[in-house]
Amino acid sequence: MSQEIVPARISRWLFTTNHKEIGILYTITSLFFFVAAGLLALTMRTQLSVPDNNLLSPELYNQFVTVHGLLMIFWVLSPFAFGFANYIIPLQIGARDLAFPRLNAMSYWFYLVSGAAMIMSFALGGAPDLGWTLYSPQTSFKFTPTIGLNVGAAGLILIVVSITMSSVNFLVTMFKMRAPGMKLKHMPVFPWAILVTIFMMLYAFPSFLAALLLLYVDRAFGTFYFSSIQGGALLWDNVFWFFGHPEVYIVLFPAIGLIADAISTYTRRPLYGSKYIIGSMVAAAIISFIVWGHHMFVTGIGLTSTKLYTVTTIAVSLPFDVMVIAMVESLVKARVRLKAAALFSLGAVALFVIGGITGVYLASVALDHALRGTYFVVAHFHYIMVGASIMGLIGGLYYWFPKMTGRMYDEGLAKIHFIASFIGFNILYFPMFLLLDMPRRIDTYAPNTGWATLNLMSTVGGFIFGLAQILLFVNLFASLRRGSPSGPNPWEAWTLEWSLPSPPPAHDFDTIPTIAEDGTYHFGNNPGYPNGSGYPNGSKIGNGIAYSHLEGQSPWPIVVAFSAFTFFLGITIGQPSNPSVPVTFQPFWPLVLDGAILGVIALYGYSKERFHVHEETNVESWPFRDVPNVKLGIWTFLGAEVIFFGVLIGAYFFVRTNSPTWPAVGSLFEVRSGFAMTLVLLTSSLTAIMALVSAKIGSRNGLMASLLATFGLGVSFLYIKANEWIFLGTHGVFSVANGLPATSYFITTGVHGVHVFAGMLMTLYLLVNTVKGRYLKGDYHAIEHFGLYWHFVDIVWVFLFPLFYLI
Amino acid sequence: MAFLIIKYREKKNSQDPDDTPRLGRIPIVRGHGRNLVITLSLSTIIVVALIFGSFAAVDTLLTPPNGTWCYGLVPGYGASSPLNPDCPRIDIIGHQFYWDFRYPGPHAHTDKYVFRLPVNGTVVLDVTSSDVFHDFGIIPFKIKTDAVPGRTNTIWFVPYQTGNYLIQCFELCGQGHYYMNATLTVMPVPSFQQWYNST
Repeated sequence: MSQEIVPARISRWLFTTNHKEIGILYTITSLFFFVAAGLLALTMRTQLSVPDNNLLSPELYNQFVTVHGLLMIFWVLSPFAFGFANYIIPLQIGARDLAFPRLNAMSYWFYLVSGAAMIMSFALGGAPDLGWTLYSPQTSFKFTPTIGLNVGAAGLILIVVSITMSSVNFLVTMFKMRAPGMKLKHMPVFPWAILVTIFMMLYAFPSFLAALLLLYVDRAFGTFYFSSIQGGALLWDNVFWFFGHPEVYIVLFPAIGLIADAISTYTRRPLYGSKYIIGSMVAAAIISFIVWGHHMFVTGIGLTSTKLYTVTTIAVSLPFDVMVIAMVESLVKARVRLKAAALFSLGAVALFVIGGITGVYLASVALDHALRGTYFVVAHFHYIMVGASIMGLIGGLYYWFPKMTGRMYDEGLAKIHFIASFIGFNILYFPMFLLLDMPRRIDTYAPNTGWATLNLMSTVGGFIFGLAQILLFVNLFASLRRGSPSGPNPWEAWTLEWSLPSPPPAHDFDTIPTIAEDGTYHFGNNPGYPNGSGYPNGSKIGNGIAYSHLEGQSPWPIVVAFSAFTFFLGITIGQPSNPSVPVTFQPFWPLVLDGAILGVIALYGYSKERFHVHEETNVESWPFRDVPNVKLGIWTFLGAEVIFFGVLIGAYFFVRTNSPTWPAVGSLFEVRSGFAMTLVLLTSSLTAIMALVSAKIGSRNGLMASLLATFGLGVSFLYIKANEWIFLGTHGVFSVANGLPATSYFITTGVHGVHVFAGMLMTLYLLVNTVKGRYLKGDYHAIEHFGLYWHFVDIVWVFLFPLFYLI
Repeated sequence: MAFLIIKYREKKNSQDPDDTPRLGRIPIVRGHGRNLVITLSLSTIIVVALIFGSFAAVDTLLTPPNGTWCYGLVPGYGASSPLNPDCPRIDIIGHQFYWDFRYPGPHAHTDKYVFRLPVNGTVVLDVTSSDVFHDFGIIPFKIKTDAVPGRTNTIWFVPYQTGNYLIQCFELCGQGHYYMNATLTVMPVPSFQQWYNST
């Protein structure tokens, strides 16, 4: 039963909240960025093909290097994988959509506009040109006065927002919406890989967000977190790589999960040691947060730290060893069907082994001293990121293409694509292992260096690899119309998505399957369904029990994303009027105001819209059985906020301990005013609790009074804070630009103040609705969610008060 | 792996294995922990050996050697070195886009572009930067360290052969990154002393 893909009205795609349509949008957009970043890479390879080439100027080459890296890492690898995750995971766990469909749409639109900002930076005075690691102090205004970096930073901030919303969404979905009887252990490896990835995202990205925020403030307002000579450069290194190493596994794990499932399908056997593979992933994810120092072996981190990071870094190779061995062992006594997806998966494992072993080389400090910053490193991480991740994900594209479109691709062409890609890949990257003495990121080299032959070879390989991808696009595009119908389960796979027609209907499941104790699925009350034989083509599923059709159109997600884009563009594109002043904050007010006003309208529309999300009852939701979806989402979000504030406070500690002098206690701040603010905030926590109690017992007046009191206390807090800021500002001793004590104080308490302000807006919203008589008795959840947020904001202040005022 | 793929590839007359997963049933869990544990322990042994090997290397790389290795080339040449009074200590400062080489001693002075050293004498280099991240590396002698503004990283090496060698910057530091090179000239001891005394 293959359905035609009907050319839909554009608005359907713009306003969709259906996980499958969003999945397709993600996939197509990420392929677009893949082509864009790939073209940048091919241009660079052409530039390097012969010595003393001047196809690209050094300025342009450095921009290409940087944007190629950023695009591939943030805008290609993860979104490509999350396109599949969006489409497939609800199907695999037996859910009808993600937990928060509109939030999902918003994640996608934030992703799209963030990529647009990054690409636009080329036209706005030059894209970022200092490597994707954005090392400080080169990012400071002094060394990079162009606004392209500001716009690029805005793009990065927007994509971190997108990723955070997405991770909250997937986490709630996977913990709370699995089909009845489906335990976590029943999930295939791909959803597991995504789950582990999400946890890493939740704890790695806030660190990056904090770093970006401090970087932007440094550039816009002339503060100097990262440009101070008191360890500013190392602060960036630490914060960045704390995020950066987990990020490597974030882009890798989805591909590994996909490869594992594809291997199981095409070897016709259950995956060998699947629980060990999953266990290894969890182990590697945890260790990934304590290995960041190996990116800094030659940056000077001291003898003991170097040794510690050597141990953790080499140890992290062990879980990967288990994964690879288990995958190879899966082939034994199997019946291997060498379809294109199987070729890509097995090819990816082979390349991953090469990339992984060379990684162990780099973990050895002695070799790292020789190899750091050379093309050996470039070869190593391209074997992982292209060889394992991209190859694995392309395999996934072939694997799920029939499911997504209902059409088969051309198998012969796909195999040629694999062979050309595999050969091209190795000609492209293997020579780089031999360029042991060629520094990375140089835009040209002299003829007498002896690098010319290998570089030329690599460029030829690059073009073979690049041109091979045309086969992929031609194949898929042509098959979209002309491919033979695929039927529901062309690969005879066992996972749940294959039990549905291709493509699945909008609501996915007619009846949600249940999984019995012995591992058999049942669809609805149709117990006679024969196990183990697969559906005959075109049969209807279940017995047609009524389902709630998810209409799922909302205009607000795209509007919110667009307004955020306008706002960020507005505050970043203004040219500084006086280049000698290290302050680039020259907002283009029309855009800023448009963005802000539109954003408020959109958020209001979003919250007022009657958008019904059908929550299935009786789903499997261990270990969060008694926690409603939204509440779990908020808890997860607050978990990410903890890291965010943790990094801000950590950065404060870092600059403070590295500064030779620091003002004495009491010399800068009135301890009394700090104390007053603490008292005010703690009281407001109490009134927030009273609001919840009043709502629960149904006392409208009590609710009104408590919310008003909370609002009033919040206002007093901000009032005292503002007075303190004005006092410190006007007395000159304490302008933002005149020292780290001021910088760290204004930034940290400023970010906290913004959180308080957001809390006030929420109370206002709640107050308006209370007047209309909502939230009483059983309807108290909104008050409870606000309370969670508010208590968190208060707890942060409980940390800030002693840190700034008392010690 | 290629062997396994070919051996177990699908043939016309081959049968699906007994435990082929089918739609409608979660597949049984398969795989002996034993096999994985064996390979895991083998890798662990290798890895532990690697770790201890690296430790030895870390100690050697990050601790300048004892005085017995050093030549007291010029009287008072390296007197300021706290770690090893005999080793000449040279400050190297990265700039966009060149290196400063600051020689100590009675003829203290600063050179750019050419870095002269006597053959077979241990030298300790204190590397820092005046502006952005650089990375000072001499590939033939396998030394490399980041030049970070606000901190000094110390490395050492023995230039054991006379000749000219390429010094490169290994961290993208701006538009002139690719030409941020210098020449290391390792000279016989007498000619080095003659050159040093004449500066």
